[in-house]
Amino acid sequence: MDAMRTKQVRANETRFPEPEAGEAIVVSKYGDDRRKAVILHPDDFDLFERYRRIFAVREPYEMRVSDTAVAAHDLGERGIDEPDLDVESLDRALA
Amino acid sequence: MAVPAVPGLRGAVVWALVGFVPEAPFRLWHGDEHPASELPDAGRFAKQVREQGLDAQQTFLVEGKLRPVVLLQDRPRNVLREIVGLRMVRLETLTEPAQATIRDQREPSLFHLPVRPSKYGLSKEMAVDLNALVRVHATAILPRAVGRLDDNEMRVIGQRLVQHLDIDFEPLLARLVEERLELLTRPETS
Repeated sequence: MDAMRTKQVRANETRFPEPEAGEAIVVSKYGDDRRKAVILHPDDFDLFERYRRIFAVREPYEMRVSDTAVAAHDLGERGIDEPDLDVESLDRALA
Repeated sequence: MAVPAVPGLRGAVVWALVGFVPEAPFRLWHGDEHPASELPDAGRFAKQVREQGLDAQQTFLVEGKLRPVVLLQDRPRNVLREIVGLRMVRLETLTEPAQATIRDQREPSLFHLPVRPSKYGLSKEMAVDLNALVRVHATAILPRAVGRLDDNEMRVIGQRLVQHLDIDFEPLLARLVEERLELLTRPETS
């Protein structure tokens, strides 16, 4: 899973309060009924991202298999990767 | 036929009779007196079983091949006769650029085995295909292993295989970490 999309905003262009590590500042609207944003300390955000990476939904490995791996696999599955028998090795197995 | 000695199979490079994976159309053998039949897909096969009394167990005509494989398991008790291994693939039929990426270990699915007859027992350059898990019966393996992958190589293959098989080992990992933490933080009793 990709990391969370982040957007950079210059500190002097914002009026957000500065959260401490371990603190989440919830910005609410319509009284306290609805959360508009949650402001985290960068350390906590990094930790959150690590958790996301660790516990993210897995992508099937097949999505990462390269063209070379597929080509080699197909040759092997069809038994045509060996144009001749490795007699030397086979003789060793039979010795 | 003599059954191979079972200890020390893990990491062994052996020659074995490996059957190809059955795929459609499925060819069924009905004995020497009758011609083989063919079914186009698994659904048609299941329908014939369900509706026309075809026995669910059939003799399938499937090709097999004598080829080197690397075994992943030991069988010290000799009670489980099927052994999981990985099929290998020869590099020479691949393109040169493809061969180069495998030699440089840039293909996680293909563990490169250079020509080292004294270690791997093969006189051809090969790669272990992490996508080619096979099960071979003990009687289908030639008794004498020709080579062996060492513990480090098997560890790398094992780690990659967990990924290739989409095995979710994180709950296990988390539990082990928790157990370890508990052990480390447990007050010492005098």
